[in-house]
Amino acid sequence: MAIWILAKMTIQEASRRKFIQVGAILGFSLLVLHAIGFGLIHTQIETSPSGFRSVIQKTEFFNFLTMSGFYAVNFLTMMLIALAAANSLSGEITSGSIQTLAAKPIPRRVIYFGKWLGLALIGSAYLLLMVGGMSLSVWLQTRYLPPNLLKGFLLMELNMLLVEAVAVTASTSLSTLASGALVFGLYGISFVGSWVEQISAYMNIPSGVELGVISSLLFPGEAVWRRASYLMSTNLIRMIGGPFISNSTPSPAMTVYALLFLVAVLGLGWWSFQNRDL
Amino acid sequence: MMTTYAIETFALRKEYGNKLAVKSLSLGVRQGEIFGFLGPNGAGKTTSIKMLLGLTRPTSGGASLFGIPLGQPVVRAQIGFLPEHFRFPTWLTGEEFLNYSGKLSGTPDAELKKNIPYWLERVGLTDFRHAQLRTYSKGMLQRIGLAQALVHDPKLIFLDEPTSGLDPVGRRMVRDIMTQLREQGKTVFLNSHLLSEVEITCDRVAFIKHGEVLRIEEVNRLNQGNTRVHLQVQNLSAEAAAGLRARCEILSAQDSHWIFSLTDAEQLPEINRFLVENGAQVYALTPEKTSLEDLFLEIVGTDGGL
Repeated sequence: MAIWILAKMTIQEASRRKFIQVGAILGFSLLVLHAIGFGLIHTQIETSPSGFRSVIQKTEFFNFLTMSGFYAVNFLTMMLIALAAANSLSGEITSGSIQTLAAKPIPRRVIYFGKWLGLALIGSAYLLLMVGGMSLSVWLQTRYLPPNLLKGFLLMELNMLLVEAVAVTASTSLSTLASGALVFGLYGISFVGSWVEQISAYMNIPSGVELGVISSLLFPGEAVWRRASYLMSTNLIRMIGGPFISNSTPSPAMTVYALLFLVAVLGLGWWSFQNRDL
Repeated sequence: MMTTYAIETFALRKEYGNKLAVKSLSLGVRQGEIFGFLGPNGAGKTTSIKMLLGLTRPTSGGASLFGIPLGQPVVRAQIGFLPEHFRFPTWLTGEEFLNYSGKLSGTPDAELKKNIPYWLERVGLTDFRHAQLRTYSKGMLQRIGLAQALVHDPKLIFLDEPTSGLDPVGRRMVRDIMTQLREQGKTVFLNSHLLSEVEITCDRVAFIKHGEVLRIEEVNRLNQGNTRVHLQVQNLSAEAAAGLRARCEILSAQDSHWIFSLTDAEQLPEINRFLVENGAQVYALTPEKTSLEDLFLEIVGTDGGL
């Protein structure tokens, strides 16, 4: 099917342009760094006279270190996919090579969704390897795994797809630079909004919480990540809070909203690419 | 009933915001001909091609390819396109580029297996088939672009400035390929600035300016009709001049240079004999051919349409 040919071309392009290689080296470095750091800290505490005072303390500690790794994985994946997606269509439109492609007997939607699919596959494989690799490293060292790992992974995947969809959609009508700026700008707004929401929740300021929720509606990716980190945290951390989970946790309704947002953004991009002159 | 037209357009118009790119393009390109599309820079040639290929949506008017109205991608399986400025994915190798092009055009693998080596050989890139396009020279890009436009065996081929990056050998190759395509009954729509080449290859040419067809000419009729003759002569007596006037229409006479018009070039030897017998000294008696360039300048004007 033509859409698979386009997806394959997109993956091949990412590889030929060394995008996959750079991402792989960075990802591998991150995994190694995390594994070594985790091991060093773990050994130090285990061998010290005071050691872990209880199993609960040990679990909280492992969870905290794993979540800090996932935080970095989430951020790195999002950044890489945003950069690739922001250039996906705008790059070909600027260079003119889209003309050779769009003159073939395939509908525009095949080009649009083919590119989207290719990048989604790259991002998903990357996220799976990173989350899987980090979980494996933690498990091999401690036989510990955070709770709700699959759910957490799927939410991180949703966040990645949201970033990708916004960037691909922007790249149908904006330049690569502007598309990238738009994605990071939107993410920045929802990021700041999420802190406003959390601090307001802690200090009991309802209007601040509402402002945070509204910013998440503009771009729900950060809220989806916060739900993921909430689900993968231990009960104690959930109760007392921590840097990777919040005092105001996005509800499952926000996940549903994020899914609808994803479909709407993809639809908007399709419409925009379908109707533009190349 | 099979239509005899590969391309038909009716009052095709394109505006970009306030800018008018194509005013009203109406023409018919017959199946099996090489059709030249001529006009000054900014006349709307590339925009016209883009509208026919579905890359750009017309503001108004209509067009059909092989009788199928614009807007249906399926007809493009019969169409090949070489865009100007070598706009290809540079990260693919030559062979991969042809393979993807053929696959996206719906050509069966078995056919591609034959066509890809054939066209690589035909455009002289067999030895470079495993090199990425980013390492290709301009001329090589144009060659692989041509192969890409032909690998799925289309019936109608749009070539936008196909020889701009090529050396004389490459130009000759493109000309030969176009002739070969015509022999196979295919239609070629050629957009080119190189009028001498258009003159050699095309059956008909359309002159466009400001996105409107000014005239369509059959190339082999360019030099039918009256012949302009340049005469350089001295010692032309009054009787001889009168005799000359009786035989042809004098267009201009300045000093020893005369320009006259003849209905039949076969009269020239007789005129020469008459002048010499009457004591005139003839230095030159030259029939002037109307070149496509002359016609272009006459129709489009020297202002370049700007």
